[in-house]
Amino acid sequence: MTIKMTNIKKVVLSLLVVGIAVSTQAFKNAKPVNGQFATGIFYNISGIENNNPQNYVFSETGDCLDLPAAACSATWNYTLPLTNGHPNGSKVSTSDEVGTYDGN
Amino acid sequence: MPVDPINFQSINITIMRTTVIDMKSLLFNPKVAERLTFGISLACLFLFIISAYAKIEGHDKFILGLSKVQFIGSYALWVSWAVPVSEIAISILLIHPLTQRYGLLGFTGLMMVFTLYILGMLLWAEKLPCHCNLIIEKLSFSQHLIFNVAFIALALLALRLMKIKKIIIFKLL
Repeated sequence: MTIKMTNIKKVVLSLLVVGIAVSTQAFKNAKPVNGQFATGIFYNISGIENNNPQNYVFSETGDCLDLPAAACSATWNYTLPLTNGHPNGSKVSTSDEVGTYDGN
Repeated sequence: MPVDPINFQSINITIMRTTVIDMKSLLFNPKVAERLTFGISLACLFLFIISAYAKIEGHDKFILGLSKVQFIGSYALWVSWAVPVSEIAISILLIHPLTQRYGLLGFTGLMMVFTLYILGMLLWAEKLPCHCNLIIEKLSFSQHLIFNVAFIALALLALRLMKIKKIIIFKLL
């Protein structure tokens, strides 16, 4: 009986962990509604670190190749809708992630 | 009164022995072993669930990343589904205490495959695609390798503790 109870407790705790894991990811990837700011990763198309939003674009399928090393992506505040995929908020990252933007 | 140096040394050895024995008895304590095993199992479960969720949610990006990898490229679609499905299957095994051992074995095996993949990428790949996600997206491939090895070590420790616990219970009976 005690073993059964312990097993049930363990299963419940494990399911709780599953719930926490899923909600963590769900909130992490939540998209903002119109007018609300959120943070997202934008790719640097110039390859040089700067604060000009025109040099950064959002790409669903974008990637950063480790080499050659350049300024590849940064986190920006944005609100929907985006114009031409450029961020419309302030830059959050203090420095860009190193790599090369691969938009293919 | 001056302390006899020989006796003083023997006292030190006794203290050290006691500490070692205490540590051993702590690990061999079935309750501690069980809690530690369960804790490790929960950590493995958390890791695989967030990993599988991110791979399924961002499936397009994941498959794109895989298609750029040499050797895997032509099997990208198959691998992109096989990996998260395996992670979910292993997570289900980790949930129930009766199947936890198989879950930990599966976790160790899959993590070893991932580790070998990372090692292969570090050794032979011309360019390193970073299509990893989750909490480890900020890690470099070398740090990722260390992270994986640490989790493999934890899973192996859990499996070892499960074995010790079984022996103790058997001896007590």
